[in-house]
Amino acid sequence: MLARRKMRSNELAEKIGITTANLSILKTGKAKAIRFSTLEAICRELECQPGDIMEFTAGKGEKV
Amino acid sequence: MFFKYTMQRLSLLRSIIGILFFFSMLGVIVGLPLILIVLIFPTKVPFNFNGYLLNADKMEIVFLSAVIYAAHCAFTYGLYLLKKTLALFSKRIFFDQKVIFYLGRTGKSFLISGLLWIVPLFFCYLPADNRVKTNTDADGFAIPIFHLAIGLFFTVLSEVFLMAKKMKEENELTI
Repeated sequence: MLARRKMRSNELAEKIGITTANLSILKTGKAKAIRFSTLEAICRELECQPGDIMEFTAGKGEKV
Repeated sequence: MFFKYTMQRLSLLRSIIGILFFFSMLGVIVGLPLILIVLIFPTKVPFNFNGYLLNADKMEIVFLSAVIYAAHCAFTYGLYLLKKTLALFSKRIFFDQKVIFYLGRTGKSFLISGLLWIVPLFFCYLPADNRVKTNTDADGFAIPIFHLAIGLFFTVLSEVFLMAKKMKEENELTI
């Protein structure tokens, strides 16, 4: 989504008011949770829906 | 301001535990030769346990002494771990795997100490007439019950710290 909007990570981080380190945690999927305010800010800046930037992947041995 | 007072109380607690550990270590160092002396003595040895003078056979006395010595060693080890935990606290390391491990081990050590203290009280209590009796005095059970309670408290505290660590991690990884 960032590439589609031709936006760099640090630029997005600055716009939504989080650090690049935290944005990196989000991008790599290491984050345990995301605040609604952060999600809202990302969606607003990238002009997208939450489903466009998040997807559900079943864990090992987990039935969908 | 709050943290300053916490640190002051922590350093006071560290000093108290340090003194207690020092005297407890003295008991560990002196205790073993005493058991050996009892082994070497050929006949009956007067043995004072919880204020009662016992006239028991040498091997019974050695067994009692060994159990009490083991209980004391377990208690001293618990104090040593508690000292290490407090040292981590003074470095402002609270919700760490080491702290959780030390607290759990401290609890287990105190539990073992309490259980070992119960052994001579229940099974090997030999009053002056040389008969095996159980002792249900509040004085007799005060030490082991206190050790068991403190041991359980530390094991629970270890689990609480584990939950706190998970919550802290989750909080830190909430963006």
